[in-house]
Amino acid sequence: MSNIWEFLLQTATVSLTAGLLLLLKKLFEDKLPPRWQYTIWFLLALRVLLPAATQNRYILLPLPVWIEALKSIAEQNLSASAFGPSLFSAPFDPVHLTSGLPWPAVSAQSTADTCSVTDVLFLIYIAGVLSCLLRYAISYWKLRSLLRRNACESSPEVEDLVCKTAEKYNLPDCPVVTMEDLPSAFICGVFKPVLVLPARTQTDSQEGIDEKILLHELLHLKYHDALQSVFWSLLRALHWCNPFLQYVFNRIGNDMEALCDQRVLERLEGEERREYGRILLEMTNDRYPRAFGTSSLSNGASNIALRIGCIARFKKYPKGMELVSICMALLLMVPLFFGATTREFNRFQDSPRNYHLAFASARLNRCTTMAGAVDTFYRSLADENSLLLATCSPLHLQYTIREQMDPDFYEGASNGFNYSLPVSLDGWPYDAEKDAYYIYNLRSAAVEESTAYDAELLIPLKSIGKYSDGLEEFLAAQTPKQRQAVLDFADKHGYANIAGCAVYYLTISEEKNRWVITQRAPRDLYFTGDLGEGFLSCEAYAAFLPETGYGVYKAESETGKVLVRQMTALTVDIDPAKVFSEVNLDADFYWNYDRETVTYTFKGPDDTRTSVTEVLLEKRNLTSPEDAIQESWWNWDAEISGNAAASGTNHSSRSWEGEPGTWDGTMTALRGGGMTVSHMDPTAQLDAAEPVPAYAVRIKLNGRLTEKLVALPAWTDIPQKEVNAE
Amino acid sequence: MNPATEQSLHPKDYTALVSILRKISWAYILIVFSIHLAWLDILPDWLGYGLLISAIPDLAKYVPSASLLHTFACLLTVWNFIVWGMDLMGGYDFPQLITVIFGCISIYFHFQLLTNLADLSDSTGCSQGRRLRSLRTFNTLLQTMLAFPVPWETINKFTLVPAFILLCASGIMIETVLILNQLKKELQIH
Repeated sequence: MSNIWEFLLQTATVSLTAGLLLLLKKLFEDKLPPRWQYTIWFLLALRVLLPAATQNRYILLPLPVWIEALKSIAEQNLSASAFGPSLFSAPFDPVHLTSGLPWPAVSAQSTADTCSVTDVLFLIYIAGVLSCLLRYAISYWKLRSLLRRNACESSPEVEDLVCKTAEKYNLPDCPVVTMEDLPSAFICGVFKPVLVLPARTQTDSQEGIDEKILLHELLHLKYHDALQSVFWSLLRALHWCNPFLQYVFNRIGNDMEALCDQRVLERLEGEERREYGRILLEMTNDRYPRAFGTSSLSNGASNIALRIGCIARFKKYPKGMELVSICMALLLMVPLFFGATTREFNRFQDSPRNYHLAFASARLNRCTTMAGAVDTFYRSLADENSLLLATCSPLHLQYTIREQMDPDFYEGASNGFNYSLPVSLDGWPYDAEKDAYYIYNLRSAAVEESTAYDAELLIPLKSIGKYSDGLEEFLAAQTPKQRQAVLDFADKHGYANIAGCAVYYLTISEEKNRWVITQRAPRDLYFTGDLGEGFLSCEAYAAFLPETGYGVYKAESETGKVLVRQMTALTVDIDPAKVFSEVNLDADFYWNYDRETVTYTFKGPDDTRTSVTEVLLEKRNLTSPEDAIQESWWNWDAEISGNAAASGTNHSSRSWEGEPGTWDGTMTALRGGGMTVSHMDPTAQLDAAEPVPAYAVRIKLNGRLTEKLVALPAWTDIPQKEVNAE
Repeated sequence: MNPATEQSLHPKDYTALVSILRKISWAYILIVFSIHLAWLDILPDWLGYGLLISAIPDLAKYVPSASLLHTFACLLTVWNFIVWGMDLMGGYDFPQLITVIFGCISIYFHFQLLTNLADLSDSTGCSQGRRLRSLRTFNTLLQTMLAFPVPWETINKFTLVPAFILLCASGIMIETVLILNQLKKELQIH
């Protein structure tokens, strides 16, 4: 726990767990033995020590979301006030517990120089923990000192009785001392335990010392109850300011005593059990010396009354009840430790007061995969939803996203409170049955000290009508010539059929165990026209990626030019029926297209072009551009057989034959295929695959070698400036 | 001998015990078996627990610890009725914690009930006590496994582990009904 909010979450979660255990114990009060009633508390101990789950998995109540929302409201207000921002937490730095123990740590998102109110509260809490521990240590030291000063060695008769009792019931024994004015016997110490008896036993006869008292204390010794008491005290100190948990820890102590009573009763018979109950009754008027590092027969009048009730209900529980106890404890562990609810994503809220809860929920939801982050980004555009954008954006952009949100409250609308993005696709996304978008050229990004990848996200678009706002924006993004082409197309085919695409330049990076998206540059909008059979195919849309984009190689001579486009395209595994309805933060990549397109364009005289009846285009990968300097390197005929349209990994070729005058001066060779990604991590391939340094392209016209071109990388890195929702 | 009164059982007692066992047998048939017509389970569990509500007070006259089960029988009846009703309306995802709590109640309930029946078998001179105790252990383990928050219905039932679990579950269900019927017959003979 590194700030007050994490402590609040931890203590609230522990309280909820304790409440549930109390409810269960009440249900099984008279049905399960004291052994189960006490042992079940160790689930609470684990809950105290383990950090509360914050990745939107929670026990019954969405505590992480509530605490996160409360934190962002409080820290924002405090930051704007005279108190200043917090050192240990930031408004939009999600609560993320890594330990159940307190340790202040400066938040990476913090802009503070000094402690604020919430920081001081956390430091007070830590001081409280330390003072509790100090108090325990001092009280134990004082008790030990008191014993050293005032305790006397017990008489030989008493020691003999203790030994005989231990031997009779097969229990360990320990040194015995007596002390004046002691209300009841107790065991003191963990590593060197001492049995302390009230001094009245010193002068009593042997028969006056009740063996059952000794039995009770020796059972405490056997089961190391003093050590357990120390353990519970330490946990109690961690939540010293939670009165409910203080009550619970008192209950734990009482259950420990009740278990000891059960163990005593199991070793006694008939009338002895009733006598044991009478002994406890005599202690109801005594003081209750609850001390650190001790275990005592008496634990206060009201608690003794409860214990006597348990004794009255004592029965030998059926054999095998331990199995039931274990099974129940195992079952309970799952919801109590791993959370019982999967993430609930509030896409739309029905009232402004849920605004903070919605954004808290968005911050706590994590995109656990790269594909999930891209898919969430896409949906934020398609749904015009700032919450989704917040989920997949870095923490330092959270404030900006919230500020830019345009809360538009629609009364009675089915989508209620719509967190509109100021710039979205405004109804454009084509309601595709599948392949709603492509992720082109996913590659490692040159970003220091983080795991990051660049990619281009291309979304096919289709107009929804002449008067849609999206159409205006689309036209504004075109050049005058393109704008005219759009309008001409619309006149001919109708505005509803205007097709285009949007290209987003993304960097996908890891931040605190989540994948986030930033835009490297403003998006581009393109008019694609009628793509015919190419509609929604990744090859057709690849043509709209910038010619200065990744994977483009160029070469040019006086008579011809070559463009090689090396392209990978990924799709995300989405259920076609749920394209616009569900968020999948854990999405996987589904299909990986791998394409290499070589396009040759003849620039020579027209009469040369019209005389061509055979064209052969061949391409070969180069390990380095210098390879092509040697003339002999271009003689690669023996390595390729035939004129296949696509062959091998490093070579491809394409041929054409036709009548003179029919060649249009271009030639394209394709190589590639597609495969399912399934559970394969495409980034593992990225690490292994370097971009091809260069391509050698050979052109033969009418059987004669005409061109030898070396296509070199032509892409420039898109400037790394960040673009937020705008 | 009647363990509650520590007196010999009268023939009327045996008749009453047979009647109790008949109710319990029918209750278990309703609980362990399911026949679905579309969404409707025509052998609803809540009917079985309802039968147990009526059988438990009578059983408690002969096995006093059975009285502990009455509250849980009522709770399980209500819970199973709610689940059955929600299934009729298309199903509902109850909070996992609630299902786990009722899973715990169910595990305890059946364990204690089968233990009580085993005690009854021993005290009336029947021979089903040992079988009932073994059954309750296997039943407890099976119920625990099935109550774990694992999406059993989505797992391919033809792989080794789910098939084994399915086989065990079927065996335990059938064995439960058979043993109860056998106990009833032995009581009838008495």
